[in-house]
Amino acid sequence: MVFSSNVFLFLFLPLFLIIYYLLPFKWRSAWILLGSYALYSWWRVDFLWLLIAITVVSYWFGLVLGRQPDGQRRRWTLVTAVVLNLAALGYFKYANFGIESFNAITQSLGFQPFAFTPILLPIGLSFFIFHAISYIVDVYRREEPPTHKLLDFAAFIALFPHLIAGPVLKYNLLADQFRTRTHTLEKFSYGATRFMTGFAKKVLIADTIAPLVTAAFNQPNPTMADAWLGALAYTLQLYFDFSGYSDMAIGLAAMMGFKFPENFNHPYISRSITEFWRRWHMSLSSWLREYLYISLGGNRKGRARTYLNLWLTMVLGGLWHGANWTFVLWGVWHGSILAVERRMKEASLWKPSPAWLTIPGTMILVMLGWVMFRADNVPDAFRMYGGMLGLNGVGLSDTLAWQVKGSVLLTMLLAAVLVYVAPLWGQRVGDVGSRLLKPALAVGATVTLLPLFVLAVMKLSAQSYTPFLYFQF
Amino acid sequence: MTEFAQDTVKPNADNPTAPRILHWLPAAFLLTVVAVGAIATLTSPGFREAQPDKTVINGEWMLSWEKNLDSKVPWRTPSVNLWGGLNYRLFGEAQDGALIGQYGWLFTNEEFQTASTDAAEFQSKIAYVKQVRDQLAKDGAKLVVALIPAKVRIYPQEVGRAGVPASHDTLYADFRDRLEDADIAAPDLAAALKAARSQGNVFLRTDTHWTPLGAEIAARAVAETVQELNLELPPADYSLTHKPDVARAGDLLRYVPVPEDVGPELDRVSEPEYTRTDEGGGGLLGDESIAVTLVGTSYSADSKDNVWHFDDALAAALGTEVLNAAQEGKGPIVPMREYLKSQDRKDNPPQVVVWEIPERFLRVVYDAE
Repeated sequence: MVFSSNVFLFLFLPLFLIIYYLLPFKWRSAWILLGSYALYSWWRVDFLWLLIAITVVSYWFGLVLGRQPDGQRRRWTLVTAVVLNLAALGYFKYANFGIESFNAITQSLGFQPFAFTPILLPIGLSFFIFHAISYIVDVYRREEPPTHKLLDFAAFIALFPHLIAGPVLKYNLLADQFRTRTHTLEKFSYGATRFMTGFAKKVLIADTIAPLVTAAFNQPNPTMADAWLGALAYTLQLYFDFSGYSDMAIGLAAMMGFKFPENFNHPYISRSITEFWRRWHMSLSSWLREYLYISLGGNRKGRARTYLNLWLTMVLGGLWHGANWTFVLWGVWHGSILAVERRMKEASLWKPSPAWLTIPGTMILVMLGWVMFRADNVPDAFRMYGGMLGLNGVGLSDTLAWQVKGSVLLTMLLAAVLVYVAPLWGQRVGDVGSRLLKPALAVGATVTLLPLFVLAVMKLSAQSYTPFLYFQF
Repeated sequence: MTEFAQDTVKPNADNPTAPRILHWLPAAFLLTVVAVGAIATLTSPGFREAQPDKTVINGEWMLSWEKNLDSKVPWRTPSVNLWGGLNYRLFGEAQDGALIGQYGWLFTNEEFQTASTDAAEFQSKIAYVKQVRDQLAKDGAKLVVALIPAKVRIYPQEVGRAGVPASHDTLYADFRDRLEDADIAAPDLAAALKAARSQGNVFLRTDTHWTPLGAEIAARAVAETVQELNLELPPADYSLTHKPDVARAGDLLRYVPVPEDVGPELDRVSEPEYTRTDEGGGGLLGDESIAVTLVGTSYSADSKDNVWHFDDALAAALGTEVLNAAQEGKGPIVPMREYLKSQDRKDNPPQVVVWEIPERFLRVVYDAE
């Protein structure tokens, strides 16, 4: 069940909220758990066991880690718990990829391929495995005491606003909130605003651009115009789709009294890839830093190892997105640039450059990365890169031209304005600090949002089903 | 400083300094929309319709139920009309599925689409047509292919800005050449229809299909090809009259959901009526054999939207009865597969089978039988 669907918006959400607010606080975790399991089961009931198994196993390991004194044995408990979680991820997410890659090699050597039945990837698996690992590691590091409340822990893992596509949360961010949180009309209104904003971003912008992205990436011989238009369209689609989803998740959580961390902070105004990763999918970036980069040694083991750790973190982060070489190469691309940027800073080669140079420069690097990220396979990505270099001509091809609509181009223009003007505008208003201007703008923005939300609900009904892009990860 | 983000929680989740109206308005608005939507959803017919034969455990039931619900929520039609109207009025665009050309001409997207599988599918279609030819030949029947050109091929000037992909330029001629190489008769309907444009529209402006004139021109061209086979067909005479012309909304207008006075002008159609005038035509109990069978798509099928009557025009042009085994909405391959296995074929062994294949289906991949 996706947030931008009639069944969620008009059946699940009202039923959930009515009962949630009727129940006393002590019953609310149970209701969250029940509601979240129901939402998950809407996809497939037969995979609910996996979510429950991950929850129970991680909870039990948390208790064991809490009791054990520091030492080798405790370390082995941690390793076992993490490996069990990663094994589940590996089996369901990477087994197909591993066998297919193995078969590709054996077939190229003239051997018979290994026969296998493809394994179905459970929706949201990457996210709830990461939630479970964060809890286990936090308990191991003694940053968080192990919880004895299985119900609260299960509700944290399954909490429906973040269950399917994040944000990737650490248990210690929500543990206190399960024990106590406030429910106010102001907070609910804030959540409603965020939810409606995300809904409008997803349906009005991302979904409108989506057909052009598909058409451009399906071009057998993309021209320079085809490839750059497709890359730009995908750059905007992905941001509005995923940040829209994150807004909705944060909004839904706020309606239930929770405070989720932000997931985006105007990433496309970044002036370097380093800055980009402080602004894009911040919850994942933060998770990777806490649990992967630091575990690999971070910057504590010398300069060369720091670069390697950065690189490895991004490569594994890329692989986390999906079992495909495209994601690995996307990770390699970002990891390499991060390492180079760090080296340049350490060698004092990084000179402050004007924004008009660094923002477009960073955007081009990001877009080149997104092409690999979006392509179905590596040869397809290189076909797009060939197009970007003009290997198939310059102007728009006739196979794409008929699919380029004025409404889509206008939406892209508006999206670009929102991406670049909104943060600048926010900064200006902040600088002015006017007591009159800021509230007036806030009211104006909210009043504009309300009809847009209704338009988005109607557009959702008029168009066919379009799941969120990050559901596939 | 690190390369990675830190967790940040926005401090203004319950910002007391925000204007008071923002403390309640978004919540009140969202809850109102959700409440109204919930009542409308609960009372919609889709909510009550169970999905028999669907399994719950693997999510099949939920998917089917949700899809059905989505199609029946009360705001579905107003939403389609609102967004379709906005797209048409603001951008002159149809919804996905059709393209708006010049002078009120609409075209189906399918005539513009391309894919990397096109070339392979082209070969596969040729192979299947040969297979059909051979199968019919075993029973002594000949095959004639009525390859219907795409509407954009006959009216390229009316397409406007978008233009047709160049890869389609020679598709029609190439397919006919390959049929000719295989000794399969296929008249050049594109040339015949182009030549007839001066007599009137041969395709409907707002529909995927041809006009009665287009169907008649094509029928005459097909009949000439059949006559060249020198078969002895049981004779039949027909007279042709026309009903008064009426305004007709074509199937492509579904993609332009706006009031009639706002959208493209409707076609005017004078529906032909073919009547058998000789003494034959044994009717249901008659024993007159039917030597010609027509297999194909909605261009031929006897459906409620059919005002072009290609089957009757073909019978009149051939001067013999035609058995119509065409089916609507299944493309050209499935009706042929079904015809080859049908009782109709056993009961009425044909001397010749006219297989109507629209050009736009040449690239469509069908599941294996």
